[in-house]
Amino acid sequence: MATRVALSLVEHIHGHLGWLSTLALFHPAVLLRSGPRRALLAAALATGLVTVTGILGAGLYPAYRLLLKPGIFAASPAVGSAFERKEHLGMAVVALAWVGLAAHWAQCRELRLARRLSRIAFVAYAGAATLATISAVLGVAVAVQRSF
Amino acid sequence: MQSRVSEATLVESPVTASAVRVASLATLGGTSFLVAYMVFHALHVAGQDPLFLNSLSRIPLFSTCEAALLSGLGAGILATLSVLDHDKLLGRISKVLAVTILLFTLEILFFP
Repeated sequence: MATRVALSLVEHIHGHLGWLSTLALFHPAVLLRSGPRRALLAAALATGLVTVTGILGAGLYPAYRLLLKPGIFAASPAVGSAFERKEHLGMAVVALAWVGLAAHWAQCRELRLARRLSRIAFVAYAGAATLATISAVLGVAVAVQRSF
Repeated sequence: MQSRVSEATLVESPVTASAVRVASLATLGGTSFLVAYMVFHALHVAGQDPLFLNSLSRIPLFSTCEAALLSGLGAGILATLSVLDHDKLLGRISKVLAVTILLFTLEILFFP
């Protein structure tokens, strides 16, 4: 019972952090859309937030597989596969956020290639923000059906 | 004209050279991660998981991610240590990354 309460608490934190980090990822994407610009704090905070959210999600996944997944797939396979899609997209979001941070960090140090590096950071953060939005919407769609 | 002169006169310091290498490693590694993830995911959907995936983790999602991470890291390190022209590479990789993100999204959305 206590474990179930703890899982529910972590699930809620993960869900709220998920939306917060989705919004945070749009910040560096918007700032870097029109060329080189210093946005290291925004980029680092967004990347840190999405990484913490991902770690919490990965921590919850084994319990989800054990306790929720069979019931969700039995009731609605479409909702079950929506959750699987969300997990795959989440992995890509974390990877892209780190690509964006590395490119932006390099852009702040390497003036000669600043435009190219800024473009890479923009593509990575814009991609991460888009995938995070899809992932967050799918997460809510599953959470309204069933949770810990 | 002014920017051309300033670009030509900039001297590449060890700090900026290592920054470019870090960016190359991360970008190539990230792109390779997504490509490898697509391949391993397609194999999983087709029921053709490579044997080594099962040794990484009992959970398919984690084993796919770990294998893709190893592939991405390996490709990134190889490319960074290679004699590739990093300046040219960084000029082209943003388009490759954008296409890879699009393909990844389509595969995951239509073949979960």
